[in-house]
Amino acid sequence: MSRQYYGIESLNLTTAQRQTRVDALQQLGANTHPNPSHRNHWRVRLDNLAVIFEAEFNDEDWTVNAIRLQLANIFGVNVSQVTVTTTSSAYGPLVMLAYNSSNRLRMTAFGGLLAIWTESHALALDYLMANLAEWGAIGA
Amino acid sequence: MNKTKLLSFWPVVMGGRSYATKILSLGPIAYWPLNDLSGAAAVEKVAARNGAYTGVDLAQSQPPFTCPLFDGLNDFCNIYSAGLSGINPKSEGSLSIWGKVANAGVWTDGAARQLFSMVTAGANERIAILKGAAAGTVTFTNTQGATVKTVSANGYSFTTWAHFCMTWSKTADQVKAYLNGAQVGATQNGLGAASGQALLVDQSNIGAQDNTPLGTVWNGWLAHATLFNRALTPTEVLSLSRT
Repeated sequence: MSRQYYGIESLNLTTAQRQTRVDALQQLGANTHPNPSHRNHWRVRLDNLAVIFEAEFNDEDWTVNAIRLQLANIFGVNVSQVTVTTTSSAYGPLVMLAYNSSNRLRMTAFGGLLAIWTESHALALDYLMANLAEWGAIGA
Repeated sequence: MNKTKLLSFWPVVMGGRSYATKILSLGPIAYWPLNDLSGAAAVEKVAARNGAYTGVDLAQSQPPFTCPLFDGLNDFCNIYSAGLSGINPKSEGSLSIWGKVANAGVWTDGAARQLFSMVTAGANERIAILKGAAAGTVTFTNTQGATVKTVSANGYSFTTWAHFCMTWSKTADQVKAYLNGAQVGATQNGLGAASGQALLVDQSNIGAQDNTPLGTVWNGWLAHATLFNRALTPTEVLSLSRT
């Protein structure tokens, strides 16, 4: 179990496919933990196409293979038909998942898989600060 | 230790409890100490109009308070209830809250960050205290009947606890803002007439303005959020700024 931030962005999914994905991800995490910080909670980008989740997750919840399998299930295809490309970013590894020649999902583990919370938090916050307008953080 | 010395020692030992007693003695209509140790309920001490925590790290030791950490990203405490909407102190009231930023960089991060916000339908009424998007700025907003009164003060970079308070009175036609017990900015006049609009569920929060979509999240610690249905006197505000 590790508490950290994950980001996911839908690229070429229908609204229903996107919602299926988000609904499943919202169920992950230690949702009966006595401290709300460890329960799954999230922030949705203003365009509804990206979400940052935070919780104390099982280590296997956010592996590339787990996300790949879930995406394959959404399309009803064999997992081998979902391809994965991993690159690095200032905020953590970026994983692109594609199916049928189209990118479908982009995922990042802020600070990297199994990062400690302070690292993951700092990088998630840096990402948000670099993208304030898209995430609705400016206000009055 | 004789009995007199023991009694005088007691409030010092109890710290937060004596401060809570001070608040309750002023007759608030809602008081969230935010010193909960576990669970999702932000216990409200006057009429059990509990709030609901999302994401905060409870029971952080930030002397003199035990309080939640808001992560600046996806944490908030929703305080909406039909009961609170029914007692929303639109025409006469005060808001008192303690805040401490996570680090000095919060003051220059370019994001607005709410300590407390209550908004009615159509934004006809709004009670809010926030760190503004401009560097080092604190903004106190009181809207009545869509007439907006704002006090902004700037030049802040403190990383210690600070006491924020706003008082308003339609009868006296005044809105006043206080920081650490001293009035900041000019007294605002020309208040509007409050509408009958109800509070918005998603825009009644400690530590954020709106939770759907979530924005302007506080980055640091908050404690002792309190609402009154009268304008506190400057002496009462000064008293609340002392723990």
